[in-house]
Amino acid sequence: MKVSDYLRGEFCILDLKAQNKDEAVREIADNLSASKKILNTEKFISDVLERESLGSTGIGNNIAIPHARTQAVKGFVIGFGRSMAGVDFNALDGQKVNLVFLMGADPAELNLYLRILAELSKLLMNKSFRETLVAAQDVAEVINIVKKFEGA
Amino acid sequence: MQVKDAMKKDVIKVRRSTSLRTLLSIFKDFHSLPLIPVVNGNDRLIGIVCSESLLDLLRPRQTKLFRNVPFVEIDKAVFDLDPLPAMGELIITEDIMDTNFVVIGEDDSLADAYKSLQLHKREKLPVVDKEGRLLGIIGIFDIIWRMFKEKGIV
Repeated sequence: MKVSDYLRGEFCILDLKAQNKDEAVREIADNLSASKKILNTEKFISDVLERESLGSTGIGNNIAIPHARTQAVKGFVIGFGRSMAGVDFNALDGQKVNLVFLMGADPAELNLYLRILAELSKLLMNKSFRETLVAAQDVAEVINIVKKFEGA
Repeated sequence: MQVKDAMKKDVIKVRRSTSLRTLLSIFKDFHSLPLIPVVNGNDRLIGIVCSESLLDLLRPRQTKLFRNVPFVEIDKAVFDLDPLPAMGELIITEDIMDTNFVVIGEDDSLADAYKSLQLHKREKLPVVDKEGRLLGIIGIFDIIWRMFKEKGIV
C-alpha cells in the first residue's frame, strides 16, 4: 500500500497561496474536490480542521499531514500542497510549513488510512525526500519523487 | 444477575485528543488491557482502541489478508521501520479508534453478556447506560468471579 497508488499530479499544488492552516487546508481540498471521492468539500474541510483542533499535524521539519476520517470522503483521497514562503500551521516546533499532505478517508477505511499515514510519515522523515520535493519543478516530478523514494 | 453486578467500574479511558505516545504507555503499564474506551466530555463512549489498531502502524505495507495467513512468511521489513518519533504526536486516538464497536448494557443479564463476548470473540467489552455513557468493562473472568462469589466459594 503506497502513497503513489493514490497521489495524482492534478491533486498537487506547487505554489500554495495560503498563509495559514485554514487557507492551506481549503486550497488543497478545493483542488481535490474534482476527485469523485470527495462527496462534500465543505464538510471535508471542517472535519480536517476539527481534527487539527485536537492536535496539530504540523510535526516539525516544515511538514504537515492534516487528515481526517470523515463521511465526506468515499474511500481514500490524498493531495499535496507546497508553499515556498511557508504556511503558519501552528506546528509543534513553531516553524512555518512548506510541505502539506492532506488526507481524507471514509471511517470504514481505517486500515488503509493508517498504513498510508505511517508510510507517508516514514517518507517525510527522510531529509533528502523533503529536499527533493522542495526542489521539484513540476507536478510530474513530485509524483516521480514519491514513487522513487517509496521504491527505495 | 445483571452486568452491573459483575462489571469492573474502575476503567482506564482516554479522550479523542490523547496522543499515540500516551496510548502506548497506558497499554504498557496495564499490559493485560485488550481495549481502551474513548469517551467525550459527557463520558459518552465514542470509540475503542485495541492493540490491533496499534499494530497496523508498524506494518504499513502488510495487507490484512496476508496477516491472516499465519504460514506465509512475514516480510522481514514488517517490524523494521525507521524510528518515527514524530508519529507519537502526529497520531492521536481520533485517528485510530474504532467507532464501530460492540457494547453491553448495564441491565443486560450475565448470560447475555457471556453470549455477546463469545459471539464477537472479545475478551472484554465496554458497558454503557441507556444514554451510551461508559459505566465499566466486563470480561469472561468478571462473570466467572461473580458466579463463584454467588456460590460462596470466594
